[in-house]
Amino acid sequence: MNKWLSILGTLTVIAALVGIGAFGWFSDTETSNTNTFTAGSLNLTLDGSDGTNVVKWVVGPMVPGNQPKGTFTLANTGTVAGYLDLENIVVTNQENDLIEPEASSGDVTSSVGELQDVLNLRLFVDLGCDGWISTGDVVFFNGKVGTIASNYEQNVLIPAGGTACITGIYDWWSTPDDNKAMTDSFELDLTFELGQTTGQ
Amino acid sequence: MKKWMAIISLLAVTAALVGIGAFGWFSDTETSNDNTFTAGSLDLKVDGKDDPEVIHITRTNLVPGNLWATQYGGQWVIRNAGTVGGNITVTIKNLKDVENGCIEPEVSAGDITCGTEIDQGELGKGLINRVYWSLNQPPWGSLTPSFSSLVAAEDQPVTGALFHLNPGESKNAYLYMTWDSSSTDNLGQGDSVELDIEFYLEQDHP
Repeated sequence: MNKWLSILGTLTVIAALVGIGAFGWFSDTETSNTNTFTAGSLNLTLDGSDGTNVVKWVVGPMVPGNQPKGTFTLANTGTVAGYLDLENIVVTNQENDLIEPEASSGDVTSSVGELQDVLNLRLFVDLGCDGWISTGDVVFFNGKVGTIASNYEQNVLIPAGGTACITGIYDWWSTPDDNKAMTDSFELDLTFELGQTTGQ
Repeated sequence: MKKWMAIISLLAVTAALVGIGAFGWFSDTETSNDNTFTAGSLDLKVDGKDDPEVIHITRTNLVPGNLWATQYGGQWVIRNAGTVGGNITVTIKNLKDVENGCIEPEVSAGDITCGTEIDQGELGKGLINRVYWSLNQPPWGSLTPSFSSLVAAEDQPVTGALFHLNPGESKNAYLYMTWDSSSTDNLGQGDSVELDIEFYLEQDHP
C-alpha cells in the first residue's frame, strides 16, 4: 500500500512539475487597442447658407442697357477636398402681359416670353471673386439665357476649408427685338454640387 | 455545396461593394432657385390711344395776328403707361404747304407759286413764323429748339429734360404755331398746311 502511495505521490509531483514547465516559458505581449477610423466630411455652403435656398437675383423692371451681376461664394466647410459642378439649371419664362409695343414689334407668342432671348449671361469661375472677368477666370457659359445647358461639370477644386466664386454677369445689349421682351420675365434655378470626385 | 454557397456569397458582397463605390461618394448640394428677372415696359399713349402715335393735323382758314389763345397748333395728352421712365421726342413730318389756288390778293401781293404741288403755299415757308412746343406744368417754358417756319421745323426732333415721363405720368403737350402779322400776309390767303406729328418715347438710359 505504501509502495502504491509512494508511486502515486511521485507521479503527482512529476505532473505538477510538467505543468509548471508548460506555462513558465519566456513571453511578452503588446497591444494595438483603440484604433479609430473617422469619416471625413464634405459640406458646401452657398453665400454662407447651409441647406437654405439662396435667391441671388430679383431684378426688374429691366430695360435694354442694364447689366446686373452677382457673385456666389461657395465654401467647403468639410474636412476633405471636393469638386464643384453646376446642375439642374432650369429657365422658366413668362410672357405676362402682351402689351401694344410688343405686339407692334411682332410678338405673337402670348404664352412665351422673350426676355431670355435678349438677355445675355456670362457665367465664370471668378478666381479673384471681384465680380469681373479677369485673367485666368474661366468663362464656361456665354450666351443668351435661354440657351444655357442644364449642367456644367466644371470640377472646380475646393480644398477643405477653402472657397471658390462663381459670378454671373447679365447684359441686355440693345437688339431689334427688345420691344418684344417688354413685361416678360423668367426664373432661373441653379444647383451647385460639391462632389468628392470629378466624376460625380 | 458549401463551397459554391461561399463563392456565391463572396460574389454578392463584392458586387454590393462595387455598387456602393459607384453611388456612395461624398457630395453636398446647395441651390439658388427662384432667381427672377423681369423686363420693364415703355408704352406711350397719345390722348389715350396706342398706334398710330403719329397725329395728322390740317389747318385752314388761318388769319394773321391771332392771339396767343387762338394759335394754330394743338394739344395732346401724352402718357407713359409703362413701368420705366422715358423721354418724349416730337417731330413734325410730311409737311404739305398747300396753295389751294391763287386768288387776286395773293397775285397782287406777288404770289407766283400757284400750282397744286404740296410745296406751293406760303404758310409753311414763314408766314407761320413761330413754331415751338411747351408743356402745361412747371418748369414752365418752351422746349427748344423753336423754329421760324414749319419748313424749318420739318424732320427736326424736339426733346429735352422737360419732356421726361415717369412711369404712369401724363403731361399735356402743346404745339404752338403762330402767324404774326407782316407785310407779306396776303401771300397766304386761302393757303393751308397739313402735317404729321410723331411722338416717340425712349427709355431712360441706364
